[in-house]
Amino acid sequence: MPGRVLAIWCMDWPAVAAAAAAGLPATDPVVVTLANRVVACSASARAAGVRRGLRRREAQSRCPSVHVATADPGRDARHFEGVTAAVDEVVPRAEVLRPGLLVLSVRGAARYFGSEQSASERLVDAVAAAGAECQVGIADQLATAVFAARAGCIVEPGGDAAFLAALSIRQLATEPSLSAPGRDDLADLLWRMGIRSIGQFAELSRTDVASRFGADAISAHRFARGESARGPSGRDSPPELDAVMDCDPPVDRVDAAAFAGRSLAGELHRSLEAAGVGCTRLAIHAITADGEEMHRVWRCAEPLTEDATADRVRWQLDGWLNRRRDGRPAGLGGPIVTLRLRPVEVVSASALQLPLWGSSGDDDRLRARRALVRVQGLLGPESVQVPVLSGGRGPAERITFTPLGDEPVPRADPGQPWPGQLPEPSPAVLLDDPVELLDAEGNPVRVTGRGVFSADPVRLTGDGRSGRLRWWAGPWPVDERWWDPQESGKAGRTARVQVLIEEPGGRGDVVDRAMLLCYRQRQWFLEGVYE
Amino acid sequence: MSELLPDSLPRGSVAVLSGARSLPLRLVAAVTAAGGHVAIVGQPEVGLLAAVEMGADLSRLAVIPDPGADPVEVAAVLMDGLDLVVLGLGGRSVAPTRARAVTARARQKGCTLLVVDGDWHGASARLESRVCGFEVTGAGAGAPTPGCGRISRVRLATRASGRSVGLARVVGG
Repeated sequence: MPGRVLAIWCMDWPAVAAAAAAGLPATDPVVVTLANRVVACSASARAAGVRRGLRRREAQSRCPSVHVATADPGRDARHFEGVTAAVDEVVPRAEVLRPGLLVLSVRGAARYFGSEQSASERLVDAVAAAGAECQVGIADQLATAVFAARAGCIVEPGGDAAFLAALSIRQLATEPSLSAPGRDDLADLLWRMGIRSIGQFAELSRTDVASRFGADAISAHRFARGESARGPSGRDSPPELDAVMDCDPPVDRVDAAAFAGRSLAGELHRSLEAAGVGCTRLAIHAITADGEEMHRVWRCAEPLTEDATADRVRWQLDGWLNRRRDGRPAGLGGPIVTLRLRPVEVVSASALQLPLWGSSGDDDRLRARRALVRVQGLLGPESVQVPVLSGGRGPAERITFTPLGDEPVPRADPGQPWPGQLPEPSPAVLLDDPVELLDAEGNPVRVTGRGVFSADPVRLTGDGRSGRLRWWAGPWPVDERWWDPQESGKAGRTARVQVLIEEPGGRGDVVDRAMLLCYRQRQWFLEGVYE
Repeated sequence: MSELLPDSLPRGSVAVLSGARSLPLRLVAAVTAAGGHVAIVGQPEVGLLAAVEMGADLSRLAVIPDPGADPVEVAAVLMDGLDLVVLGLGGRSVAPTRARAVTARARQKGCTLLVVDGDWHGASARLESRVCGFEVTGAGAGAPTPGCGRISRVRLATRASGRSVGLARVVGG
């Protein structure tokens, strides 16, 4: 039998931590907001009608006595430290998935306490003594155990798939620490395709899922079938990857700990980079002046970056140091003298490195990429786009944009012949504004089924771009997608025209403007301006 | 164009570009072809295919079409790692104190900043380019006949002025 996994889930942890930080009893209504939306609420607030995703004002109107706090991952991690310490008293070597969620191997504990049931009872008691409510779930696989904890049940050995089968497909994306970003979209897509439960998803064949939905869907599918959630890519790291720092003077303040964490994270990532691996599970060790040792494992869905590592080290040290200050009996004996970061699980760094700037691995490329990733951190993952040459006929469709970090795959193969492709030069400005093309009588000009103008065009009118045509060429019909009833119904007949427009210049003279027009859906669009 | 640029835009300078929008694309093409990395900020309408035809290497180019409320901040962050940042201000102006700070940062990081569609206080060079005509092939001699030919070339007149270029001069391109 494989090792059974126990998950401890403290529900509404951000709200519980916020209540504890404000000194309120756990029964008070509390909501935690991010960007004016409720991201977590306590049970009493939920009883008053508050839900996740509500606006803050709406939450306050439904429950006027509610305490509102803003989201703070550092606060969550700091207050969770007490819970992990309490769990450690009962069963050592718990791993933190995120603040509010712990997983541990239950085999030894079940043997020691007699049964899995009694071990989980002990754990619930221990967490309750630390001042938090929790639910416990046990299953064969880590991810299933997390969902069992949400349901508060123990899944029989070998019953993972049967337990998951009844859950809604939307549940795939509910636990962010187990899913890569973009899982929401997958769950939504599967829902719209009529796959309503995880069981239905598990019934699909692996090859079908892999060829249609991508890498993250494969891990979701493995999870749905109750197979081992972590791929075989994880391997034990050689010990020389550890980053150790002797703190002199000893660290006893949070700001000093943050500095120490940042420099140590930089050191760790240099050694990881040299070894060509990325870290998905990080152990943080600390030794105090009194010789006491502390140890905690953090696990992440995506390989850790340097900043993410520094954050985790800071949260962890923050938690340890603050616990000490509270004077709890389990606290530290003194300031931290030695700090050690150990990558417990590493994956090949090809998952991190993407061939964005060509194949040469020079410094410039990394420098540029770092700057762009920082902008991505400021503005969101979709904000930085990388262009790649694509196949097509119009100027806009010949460039495909992909977000930085994704593989830059063109929409169509540029190597294929594209008859009817516009020759050089291309317009320097791409637009998509509706305009009108008129003949001598002022009637609109159309493109006929034979691919010619209904009448010679004379004037162009549009938003700020009106003028008499000095020259035109075309129409050049675009004959594509006629075999596809959906696409051709949408696009209709398509043709392109180049025109020269006479416009009044700045100094009273007449200047030409060259434009590219596109006819589609019985309407002219200004597609580009040559300048 | 190549005769104008090397001495007028040294690394780490700030230049304001106005007029025809193929001028920044020409500079982007020149820098990426020489192995530099370029970001284009706040210009969703830019036609990159034109840059490719001028010789740009797209694998060294990134585009940030919507830089949010503060495009100058985004450009300042990008200066850390890139060789050329093209910043579209969308008609907004930048306070002189802010502009001075960003100019100093550009000089320190050795990143050239091209400001388009806006003004920059204290820019060391100003380039203005104007379309002075189109060449149409296959439409007969003299004035082009409607219905025949296609646009084969866009003629630009570029005028550079500012501290780093010395006297104003006009170059045809």
